[in-house]
Formats: sequence, structure tokens, C-alpha cells
Amino acid sequence: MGPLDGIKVLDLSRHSPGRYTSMIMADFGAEVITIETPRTADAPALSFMFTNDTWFRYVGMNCNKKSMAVNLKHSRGQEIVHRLVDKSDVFIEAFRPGAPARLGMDYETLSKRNPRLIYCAITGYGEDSPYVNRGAHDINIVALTGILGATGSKAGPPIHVISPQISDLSANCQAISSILAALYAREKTGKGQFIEVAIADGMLYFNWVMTLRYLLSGDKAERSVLPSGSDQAWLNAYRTRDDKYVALSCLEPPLWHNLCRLVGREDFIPHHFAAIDKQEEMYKELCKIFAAKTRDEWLKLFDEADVAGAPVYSIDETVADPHVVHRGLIVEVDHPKMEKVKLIKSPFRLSDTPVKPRARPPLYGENTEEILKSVLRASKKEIEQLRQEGVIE
Amino acid sequence: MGPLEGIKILDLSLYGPGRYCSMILADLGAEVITVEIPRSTGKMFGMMTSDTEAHYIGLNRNKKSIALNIKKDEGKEIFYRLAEKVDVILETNRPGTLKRRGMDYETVSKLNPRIVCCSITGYGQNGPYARRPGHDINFVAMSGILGLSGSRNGPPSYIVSPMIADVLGGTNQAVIAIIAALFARDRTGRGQYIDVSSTDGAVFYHWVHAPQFFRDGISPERAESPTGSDVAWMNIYKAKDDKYFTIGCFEPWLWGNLCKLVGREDLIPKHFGSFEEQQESYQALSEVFATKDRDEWLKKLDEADVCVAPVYSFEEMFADPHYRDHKVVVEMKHPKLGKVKLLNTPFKLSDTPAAVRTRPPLWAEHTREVLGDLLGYSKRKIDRLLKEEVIE
Repeated sequence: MGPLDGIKVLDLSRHSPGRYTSMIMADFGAEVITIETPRTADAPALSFMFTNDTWFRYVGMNCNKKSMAVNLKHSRGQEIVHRLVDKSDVFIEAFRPGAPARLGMDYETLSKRNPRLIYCAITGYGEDSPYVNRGAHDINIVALTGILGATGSKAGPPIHVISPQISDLSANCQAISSILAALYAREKTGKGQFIEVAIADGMLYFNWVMTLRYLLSGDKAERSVLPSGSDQAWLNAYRTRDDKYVALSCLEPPLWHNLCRLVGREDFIPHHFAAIDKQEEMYKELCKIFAAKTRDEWLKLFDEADVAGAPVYSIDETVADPHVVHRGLIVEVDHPKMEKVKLIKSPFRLSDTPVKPRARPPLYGENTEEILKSVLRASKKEIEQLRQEGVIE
Repeated sequence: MGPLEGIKILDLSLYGPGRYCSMILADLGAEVITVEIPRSTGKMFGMMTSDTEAHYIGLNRNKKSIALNIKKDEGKEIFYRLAEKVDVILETNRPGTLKRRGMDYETVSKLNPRIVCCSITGYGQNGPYARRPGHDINFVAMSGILGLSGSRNGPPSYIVSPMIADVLGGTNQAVIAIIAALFARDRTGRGQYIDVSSTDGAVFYHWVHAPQFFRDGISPERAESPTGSDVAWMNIYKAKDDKYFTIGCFEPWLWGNLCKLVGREDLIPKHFGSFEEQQESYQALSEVFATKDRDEWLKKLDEADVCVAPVYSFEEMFADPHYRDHKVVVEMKHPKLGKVKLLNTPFKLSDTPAAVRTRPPLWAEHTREVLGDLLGYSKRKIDRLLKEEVIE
């Protein structure tokens, strides 16, 4: 049994801030229904990335869920969602602000139907912001929060991190933590509530090191002088003889001492947190030292000397690493269209209420009929009619 | 009243991932007691014990602070007494350490079967690297993130802040799992053990590139372009005043809006085009964007409904009307620092709001209060424990 067994979630979002949130909840045992847009002629032209149920995005974000396709612009489609809301605990949406009210799916309307409903609205900038109508993707949010401007070397442009999408993740954390906390509070208050997730706000909060340093000391983080994004010799990636890289992080003095001793540069020990000139000198010296052995040789030496080091992996190496294999982080499931699909296992490990094993992602709209029948008690005839009218798929 | 009001948390962690986790839980209303190592042990370096350091100030508001030497018998006894009274214990020691000290879940759950224990470590409680020390840069390296960041023509580029694996892989996972376990406890009546590995959390978040790799078997590489992105629709552009801004036009209609605005409708069909087409589009847009200042473009792009945002410095960010409106900074009085600025909580729950309620404590400020009020120790006993350096 998972920690969220018996909780019913309705997810109307499309992108990862919402979809990944509901997937983590599904992993925890919640029953999640995703509402898709029917692929009918009068539906807005949706990218195949959203509608193709064998596309990797779809496959990666929809495990353990049920899929239903309902036309939200049709009054009968809205009625279907309303009736599902009556039986749900959590409602997730990521429309631009204002859109839910136009569809009759804002918190005010839905909470009247179901006062125990926990409603989570995920947007880039929140319901009240000068940018309320501005669309946002990850790159925009990391730019606004000062992260992009401080990533990379001063000698070049800011560098965007392609994967993972940092701000989508901070949105996941903010959304799930809030939803879980609201579920917990509901046990005592008996009431649901409205949760507003503004991704730009969460990103600022999760960027705590840089942001706090500025708030408390006025230090403005900038891109680095060194080419590798970091201006600390003890916190850097170094190239090895085989043209691979190792990543070092020796924040604790004992670890730094271990490293300096290992490479025969005890003279660096007192300069652990020195200013940039000395850091640059040590970085350059360490570059030469690390270039003398292969990555794997260094890793073995780091482990023996108790130095915090790790290989800079490409994804194929990550997936094949003994740690990832040992922890069983990659699983394979059967899929009707793709035979076998590999998926990332949930990293959550709770001893008493473990997360569910991965069930294959549903086909697009696979459970529409089943949900209409079982949850809403619709007859075969009604379902046929809804389909003909383009309300469902 | 926050949603976690009434929940008591004992935080044995020293570093960001644990302290940040308990801060989020404290913002949500939980009562958090951080356990420091007395300075008399000589174990701690200055950065960890100064209660006016940015790290300390930033991570400890809404919490109480005690200092306890758990290597002394009476110190450990105090820990057991606290374990009986709290709902959650959080720790970030290397695997095996707590077991050796008789403070692990197995021991503690016998005293308090409702307790939720959460360990946050880099590599988890088991596996080949369980004993290896590590920090964020190591975990992002292991999980393939560092290898993907930057340009192929240079070294991998480390993101100094935020610490992706620590905060989003470790802290994030721990907060979620702890609240889920508390929720489950209301129904099962039992606590449980949570094993958080930051590296595993970081791998889990490759939701785009891992499924793509599983499908194609091709390992993604760093970009050819200096900006780290090889597509024109999601990239960083320089304006006339040498300031940067970002475009994120994933949806075809947003890309259409952009191309129309700059009079380059010919680029519309090349939205998801080949590498060469992307380079051409990037070049073409770079030339257009170099003709006006950043803020002029922001205004124009906003009006045209394009996903756009400026690449801000921190100064610009905090001055931005969005962040001013959302009150992302709170100011509090502090006995040593006068006024301190803190990050407000971004968690917005309409009925049980999260909030910054109390200033960061002074180091070990609440040792007396917690031992007296929570455990019922007499003043005389506390004085003796202080003298014997069991507590500080």
C-alpha cells in the first residue's frame, strides 16, 4: 500500500510541472486521471509531442495513471469534469491565469461542488504579477531568477542547462509538498484549499545559496573567471588523460587535505578558500596533475584517499553505473505498442508504504470509456453519443 | 496556522540538504529543533557554528536550536527522550553512523513506533558508493547532468547555484516523502524509514533525456553552441546593450508569434528543423535582436505573446516588479545583525498558509527551553549538563 492509497487526483495539465507532480503522486498510490484533449478535427492543433502516446515525453511522465480525453470547451465535456471533481480529492491545472474561470473550472466554482477539494494551480508567474499573461518555459524562469546569468564563464555567454529543467523541478517540489501538506491539514480541518504555485517564486526560493548570499551580504553572483563555471579549485571538474572529466568537491577541510596529500601538493592546504588569483593558480596546477592519469584511475585513488570525487558521466554511463544498477533505478515494462519500454524507477524509498512498481503509461485516452462507466455510471449509448459529438475520444 | 502545525521534527543534519528540508517543513508549520554539535567538542569549523553566517541565517528561521554532545551517555539519553516526543527525525550522516551509535531507525522506532526517520545521503544507504563522501558537483557528475552542461568546445560547466542534486534531488525528495509518510501514518498508525539518495533523485529528473535515451540508445552530448543550447526556439540572445534575454518558444504558435514579430515568417517551418537550420535561425534572430536594447525587446515580445524573460543579475531580479509584488523577501529583526533579509516561503496555501514566523535562532539558543519545557528537566540538572559539556 502506498502512502496516498485511496486519494483521487484529476490532472488537467500538459507540461512536466503538472504531469511529473501527478506521476509522483501516482507512484505514491494515488489514483490519477489525466485529462487529454480529443484529437478530433475541431480541437486545437496539438503538437504530436502531446498526443503521441509512444513519444518519449508521454511515456516518461504518465506511468501509473489513467488517461481520458475530454473536450473542455464543450459544455458536456465541462459537465464530465465537474462530475469527476465531485469524486476527487486533488485537482491540478496549469492553464494561463483566467482560463479556468472561462471554462467554469476555477477554484471558486469547483470548491462549491466539493468543499474538500484541494486545487493546485501551476503557472509561471502566479495569479497576480505584472507578467500574469506572459507564457513561460524553463529557460525564461532560470533567466529571471539570476541563475542563467551566473552559469558558465565570463569569457562566453550564459549557459543553459538542457536537462534537467531546473525550474520545472522546483515547481514539482512546491506543488507536491503543498498538496501533501494540504491533504494532511484536511484530516483535521475537514476543508480543502487553493494552492498557487508560481514557478518563478519557487525557483528563487530553491536557489537559496546564491540568493541568500546576495540578500545577506550584497555579493552578486557572476559567471566564473575559470572556463568551467566554478571559481573554486576544490569545487570543479577536471579533465583526465583519457579526455574524460572528474568532478571534485572538497568543502570540508579534511577532504581538501586528503586531496592535497594525494596529489603531493600539501602546499595548497592553507589556501583552501583563497581568493580568485590563488584559486586560478591551484586550478591550473590541478589541471596538469589530473591530466596524467585516466578518469577511472583517479576515481579509485579518490575512494582510497577519502576524497569527494565522481566521474562526469554521459547518460549511457550513468545508466550502466554499478550504483544505478544496484539501486534498481531503471525498470522495464511491457507496452502494447512498443513491446518493452525502459523507465526511470521512482527514487522514493519509504519502508512501510512503498511506492508502486511502475505500471506502463496508458495509451492516449485509453481509459475514457472505463471512467465514464465506472465513476460516472454513463451508459454505452451515452458514451457513443458523446464520442460522436466530439466531447470525448 | 500552517498545514503541519503540531508536528515536531528533530533535525540532526548539518548541511544544506537537511537544513533546507527542515526549513521547508518549518515554513509549513512544523516545530523544528535543530541539534548542533557543542563547540566544546572542537569538531566544528567556524562556518558551521557562527549564527551570523549567511548559511546559518538563511536556513534556520522558524526553528529552535539546541547543542547536544551525543557521544556522551547523558547526551544520548537526551536524544532518546527527544525521540520519544517528536514525529520526525532527519539526519544526513554517512550510512552506518547512526547504527553504530544506537540511534538508527530500528532502535528509535522501538521507543516510538510512530516515528518517521529520514536519511538524506548522496548515494543512499546501500550500493557501491554508500560510504563515499560527496557533494552536489559529484552527484550531478554521476547523474549525467554535468556532462550535458556547457558547450562541447569547452569543459563541462558547473552550475554553482542552485545545487541541482542537493536541493532538487535530495531536499525535494525528502520533504515530499516525509509529508507523505505523515499522511500515511494517520491511517496506518505506524511511522517508517525513508532512504533519500540525492543521486537517485537527480537521475529521476531526467524526464526528457532519459526516456529519449532509452528509446534511441544515443547518449545526449553537450551542445555545439556556446550557450549550451543548439535550438533557436529555446536559447539565449544578446541585445544591443550587451544584455541577454531568453526565448522559450516550444509551442508552434509561440514560435509563429516570434517569427512574425521580427518579420521572418520564413523561419516558421524550420521550428524543429535540423542542426544547420537551427544555426541559421539562431544567426538570423541574433542579428535582429542586436538592433535594440533588451528592455525594448522584452516589451515587444511580451506584447506579441512570446515566452521571453531577461537574464537578470540578482540586483535586477529583486528590483523587478514581479518579485516586489509577490513579497519574496521578508525582513526580520535580529539581536546580532539588526535587520536581516530572508527569502519568504513560496508555498501558498489558501487555508493553512506557510509563513516565516520567527527569526533565525542564535546558536544553541533553545537548549534550556527544550530540555526544560519538552523533557521536564530541572534547572539544576540543566546547569550540571552544561557544566559537564553534555549540552551547550
